[in-house]
Amino acid sequence: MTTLINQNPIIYEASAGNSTREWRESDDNEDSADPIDAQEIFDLIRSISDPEHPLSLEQLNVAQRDHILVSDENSSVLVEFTPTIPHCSMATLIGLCIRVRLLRCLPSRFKVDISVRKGTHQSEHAVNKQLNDKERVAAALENSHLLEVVNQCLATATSGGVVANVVMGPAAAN
Amino acid sequence: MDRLISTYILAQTDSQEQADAAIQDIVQDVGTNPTKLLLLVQGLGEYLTSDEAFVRSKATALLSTTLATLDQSKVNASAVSVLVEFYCDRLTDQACVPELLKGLLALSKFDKFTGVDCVKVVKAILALVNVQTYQQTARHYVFLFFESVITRFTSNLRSMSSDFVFGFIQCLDGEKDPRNLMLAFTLIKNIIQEFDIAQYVEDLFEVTFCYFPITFRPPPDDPYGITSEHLKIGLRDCLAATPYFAKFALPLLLEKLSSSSGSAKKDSMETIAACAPVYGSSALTPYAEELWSGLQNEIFHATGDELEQVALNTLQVITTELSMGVSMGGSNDPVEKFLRPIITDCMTQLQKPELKLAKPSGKILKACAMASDPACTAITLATIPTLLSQYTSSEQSTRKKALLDVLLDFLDASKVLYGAAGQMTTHDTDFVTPLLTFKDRFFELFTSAIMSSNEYNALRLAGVKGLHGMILLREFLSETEISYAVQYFVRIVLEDPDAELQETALDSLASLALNMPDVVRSMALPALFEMLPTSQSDMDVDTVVQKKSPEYILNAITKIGLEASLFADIVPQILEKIDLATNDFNSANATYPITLLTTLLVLLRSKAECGHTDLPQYLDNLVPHLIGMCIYPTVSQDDADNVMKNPEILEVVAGITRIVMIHVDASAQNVFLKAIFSIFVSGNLSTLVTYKEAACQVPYAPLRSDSRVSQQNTSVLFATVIDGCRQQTTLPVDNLQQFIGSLVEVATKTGNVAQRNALSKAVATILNKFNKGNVLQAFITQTLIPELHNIIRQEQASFEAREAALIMYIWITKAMVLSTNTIGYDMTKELMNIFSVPRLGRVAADGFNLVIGEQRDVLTKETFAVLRLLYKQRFFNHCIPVLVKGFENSANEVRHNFLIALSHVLRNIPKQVLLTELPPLLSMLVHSLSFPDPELKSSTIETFQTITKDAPTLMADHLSTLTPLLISSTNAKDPTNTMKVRIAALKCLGAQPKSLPFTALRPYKAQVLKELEKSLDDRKRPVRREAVECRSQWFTLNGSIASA
Repeated sequence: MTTLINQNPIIYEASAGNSTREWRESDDNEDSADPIDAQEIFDLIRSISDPEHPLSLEQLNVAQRDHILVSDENSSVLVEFTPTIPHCSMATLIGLCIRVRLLRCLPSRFKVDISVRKGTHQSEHAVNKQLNDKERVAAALENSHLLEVVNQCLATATSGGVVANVVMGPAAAN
Repeated sequence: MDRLISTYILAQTDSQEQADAAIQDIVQDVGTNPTKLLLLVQGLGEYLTSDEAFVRSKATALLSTTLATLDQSKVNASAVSVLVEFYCDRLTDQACVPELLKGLLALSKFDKFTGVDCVKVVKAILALVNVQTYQQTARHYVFLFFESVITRFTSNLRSMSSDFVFGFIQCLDGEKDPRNLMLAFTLIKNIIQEFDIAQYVEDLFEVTFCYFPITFRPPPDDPYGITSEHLKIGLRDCLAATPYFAKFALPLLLEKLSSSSGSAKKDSMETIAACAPVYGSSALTPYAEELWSGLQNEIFHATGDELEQVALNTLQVITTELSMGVSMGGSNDPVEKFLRPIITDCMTQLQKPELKLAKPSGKILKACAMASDPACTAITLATIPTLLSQYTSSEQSTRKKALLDVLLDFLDASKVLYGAAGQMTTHDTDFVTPLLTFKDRFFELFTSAIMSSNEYNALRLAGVKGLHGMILLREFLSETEISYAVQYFVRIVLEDPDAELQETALDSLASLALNMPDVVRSMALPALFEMLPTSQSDMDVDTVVQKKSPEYILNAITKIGLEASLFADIVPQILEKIDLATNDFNSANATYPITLLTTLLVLLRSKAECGHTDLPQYLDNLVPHLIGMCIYPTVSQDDADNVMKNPEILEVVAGITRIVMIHVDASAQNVFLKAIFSIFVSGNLSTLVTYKEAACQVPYAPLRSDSRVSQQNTSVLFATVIDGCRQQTTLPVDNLQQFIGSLVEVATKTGNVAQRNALSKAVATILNKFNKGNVLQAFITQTLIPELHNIIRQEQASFEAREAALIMYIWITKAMVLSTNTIGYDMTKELMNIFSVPRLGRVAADGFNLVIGEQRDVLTKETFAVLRLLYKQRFFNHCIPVLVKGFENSANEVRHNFLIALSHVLRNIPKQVLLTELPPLLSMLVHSLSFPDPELKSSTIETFQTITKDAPTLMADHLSTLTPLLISSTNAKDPTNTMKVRIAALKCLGAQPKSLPFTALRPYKAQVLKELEKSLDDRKRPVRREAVECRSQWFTLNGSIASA
C-alpha cells in the first residue's frame, strides 16, 4: 500500500440526505424564481470524494458552506476550500475537481473563482494561480489520466453528503 | 433382441434416431423384465469382445445404460456379483472405462451390491484406472461412485486400512472441474470424519489446500449453477474438518491474508474464522501475534465496509476460541497474551480519539470484548479507567464525543455478551458485565454530556445514546435510575431545540416502550399529554412559542404508543381532548382536532402492520363513539357549525373505521353492519352506544338527496363500512337490488359531490362483492346500465346530472373489471364512445385512471374486494386494441382523450406486460408529447423512462424522433412545460447513458450537453438539480467504462 500524505485525518459529521435545505412554499410555485445561492453551490460540491480517502469533502471539512460566496445577479461565485494539512499536495487536484464540477453544473454566465482559504496552505498563491488560469485548467483536462481521476472523484458528487467506502485503493475483486 | 442390438451397434451417426429408438426398446424390454438381462449380455457378447475399441465401448454403453434404468430389485445377488466381476475385469480396457464407470455407479446403487463387491470395485478402480487421464464425465462417475458407497459401506472401506485414503488422494490430485470439486470436497470432509487419516494428513492437506483461494468464475449462463461461493464454502468445510490441519493451514492462510486481492483476503479471513473453533486455542496461540498484525491492517486500512466487518468478525472468533484455552496461570493466559498488543495498539490510537483511526480502534475493542467474559473483563479493566480519565481531562468537545462513542461500543458489546434487559435471555446469568463497576461514572458522564450547554450536538447525542444503551443492558440500571434516564429523554423531547437530538431521544423512548411499557406510561405519557392544548385559547397564547406544537407532541405519541397497554391508555386521553376541542374549535379551524384523530389512525395502522391482535376491541367502543360524534352535530335544531362536520375529520374517522373493521371476523362485522344500517338507512340513532335523546332534534337521513348537506356528508362513513365488509357478510336489507337502485338514484340526483362519490363507491363495492354466482348480472345489464345510459346520453339534461351518471358508470365499470366480469369490458368500450361527447369526453378519459388505477381507500385487497388474478392484464388486452383503433379513426380533438386514457392505462399496468405490448404503441405515445397538456406530457415521459431502463433496444430505435422532443420539453419558456414535465424529461434523458449502448447515444452527446446548458439556468432549483445530474451522466459517457 502506498503511503498516504495524510494518513489519519479528522472526520467531521456530514449532514445526511441530499440537501439540508428546508422546504418553502415558493418551491412549488412554477413562476417564482429560486436564485442560485451558497447552499446550492455547497450541495454541488460537498459530496465530491477526496482523492486520497474514501470520504467526502464535507466529511473532511475541506468544503464548507460558509466559505462560499454567491451573487446570482452579478453571476459570480467564490469558493474557498481548506486543505486538511498545510503541505497537502492534493490541494490542486481537489481545487481542480471543484472547478470541473462547477464548470459542468453552473450556467456559463457565472464567473467562478476558486481559492485555498487564506492561511491554510504553504503554497497558497501558486495553487490559486493554477486554479484560476483558464488555459492551465483546460490543459490539465486534456490529460486523459488526470481527467479520469477527476471523474472518479466526481462520481460520488450526487450521492449526497457521505461517501460510503467506495472501491478505491487496491482492487477489491480478483 | 439380437436385431435391436445390431441396429444399435451398427447405426451410423446419420441414423442416430434409429439407434436411440433401439436403445429405448431394449432398455424398456429389459427394464420390465430383468431376467432378460442374460439375453442382452449374450447378445452383446461378440461386440464386447470386438477388435474395434469403438464397438466395445458402444456395447458397454448399452449395457451400462440398461443397468442404470432397470428395476434393480428384480436382479438377483449372483447376477450382481457376476456383473461386478465382469466390470472390474474389463477396467483394463481403457477405451471402455468411462462407460464401465457409469455401469459400476449404477451397480453400486443395487440392493444386492454388497460390501465385498464394494471393496472389490474400489480396489479395481484405484489399481487400474488412472483417474486424472480421463475426461470430465468419466472422472465425475468416479466421484459419484465414491459418494454412493462412502456412507453405505463405511466399515468395509475402513477395513481397506489406509489404501483407500491414499488411493483417493491420488484420484483427486490435479482435478480442476468445479462439478467434480464440489463432490470431492464433500468426500474429503467425509473421509476426514470417518477414516483414519493420521498417515496422510499432510498429503490430504496438500491436495485440498492447493485450491485455496478459489478464483473460479462461472461462465455466463452457466447451466450447472455452481458459483465460486459454493466452492469456497465446500473447501472451507474441508479445511475446518480436522484440527490436524492446523499446523499446515495457519501459516498459509496468514500468508494469503497479505495478498493484494480483496477476495482472497476475505476468503482467508472467513476461513480462519471457520477453522478457529476446530483448531482450538493451543493451535492458534503460536500464531496469535501474526493474526493480530494481519487483521489489524484490514481494519485500520479497510478498503471496504464488508472486508472490515469480516476482519472484525474473525478477530472476535479468535478471541472467543483463545478464551477457552487452558490457562497457564496469570500472564501466560492465551487470551490475555493475545489481547495485550491489541489493547496497547488501540489505546495508542485512542489518545487522539477525534482522528480517523480512533473509530476502527473502538470497533476492534468492541469485537474482542464481545467474544467472551474473560476477554471483556480484561479489556474493560485495561481501558475504561484510562478512557474515563482522558474524558475528564479533555476540553475539546469533539474529543469527548469520540470517547463517548468508544464507551457506546462497550455498551453494545456488553449487551451482546451479557444479554439485553426486558427480554428472555439465553445468556449465562452467573456472569455480570464488568461495566457494572463503572456504572455510576458512566451515568454521570452521559448525563453531563446531555446537559452540556455547548453547541456541539453530536456530544449530547452520544449522551442520549449512552443512557439508552445502559437501560438496555440486563440487570444493569435500577428502576430509579431508569426512570431518571426516561426523564432526561422526555425533557429533550419536550424542550430541546435540536431536531436530531429530539429524534434520538424519541427513538429511545419508542424502543423502551416495547420492552418496559410501565415506565413509559408512568413517566413519559403524562408529560406529553400535559403539553397538549385543551382549548382554542391555549393555542394562541405566546407560550406556544416556547412549547412544542401539538403536531409535534402527537407525533411523539404515535412513535411510542404502539404497545397494547400504552395504546389502551392513549385512546381515552385523546378522546377526552377531542371532546374538549369540539366545544371550542370550529370547522374552519380543525387542524388540531384532525391531528388528534390522525394520531389514533396512524397508531392503528402501525399496529395492524405489526400484527397486533388488540384491534377488534375498538370496534365496540372507539369506532361507534367517533361515528356518534360525527352524527350529533347534524341532527341538532340549528345545524350549527361544529368541528366534527369538517370533511377531513370525516375522512380520518372513516380511516379509523376501516382499519378496525377489516381486522374483525365476519360474525362481528354482521352485528356491526346491523347497527350501522339501522342508523344510516333507517335513521334510528338509538342504537348508538352514546345515544343522547336530547341531542336528536331532527331526523337523520344521510342517504337522501333532499336532506341536510351536513347529514349527506356523513354518508362517507357509510360507504367505508360497506367497503370494509368481508365477502361472507350479508347486508341487512330486504331487497338488495332495490337498495342498490335507490343509492344510484340518490347519487345521480344529489348536488352534493361528497355524497355522490360516497354513494358511487358504496354501489361499486356492493356490486363487486355481492355478485357471487352472478346473481346481480341481469339487474346490472338490464336495469342499471340502461338507466345510467339514458341520463348520460340525454343532451337536454344538465351537465352535472350527466356527469354524475357517468361517474357512477365509471365506478361500476371498475367493480366489474376487478372481478374480470365481461360486463366490465363492454362498459369500457362504451366509455370510449363517450370520448367524443364535449366536456364529458374528458371525464370519461380520466375515468380510465379510476377503472384500472389502484385506489388507496376503496375496493382494495385489504378490504376484501373481489380482485381476480391478472385482471390488469386482461383489461389491457381488451382495451388496448380498441384504444389504438379509436385513436386512428378520430378527429384531433378527440384523439387527445384517447391519449389521456392510454397514458392512464400504461401507468397502471405491470411492467412486464407493458414491455411486451409496447412497440406498436410507441408512435401513439410520441404524439402525446405534442399536445399542450402537462399531465399527459409528464406521464408519457415517465413511461419513456421506464422503457429506457427495461427495454433499452426499443428506446435506441426511436432516439432520432424522441431526443429532440425530450430536449424541447425541457424548455422553460413553453408554459405547458411545467416543472414536472421538465424534471421528467431531464430524468428520462439522464437515464439513457446508464442503459443504452454508447454507439446509439454518441451522435446526440454534444447536442444534449449543449441544449441542457439552458436548464442549468432554469428558474426552479429542482429542475437545475436534475439538469446537473443528467449532464453529469452524459459527461461521463464514453466508449470505455460508462456504457457498461
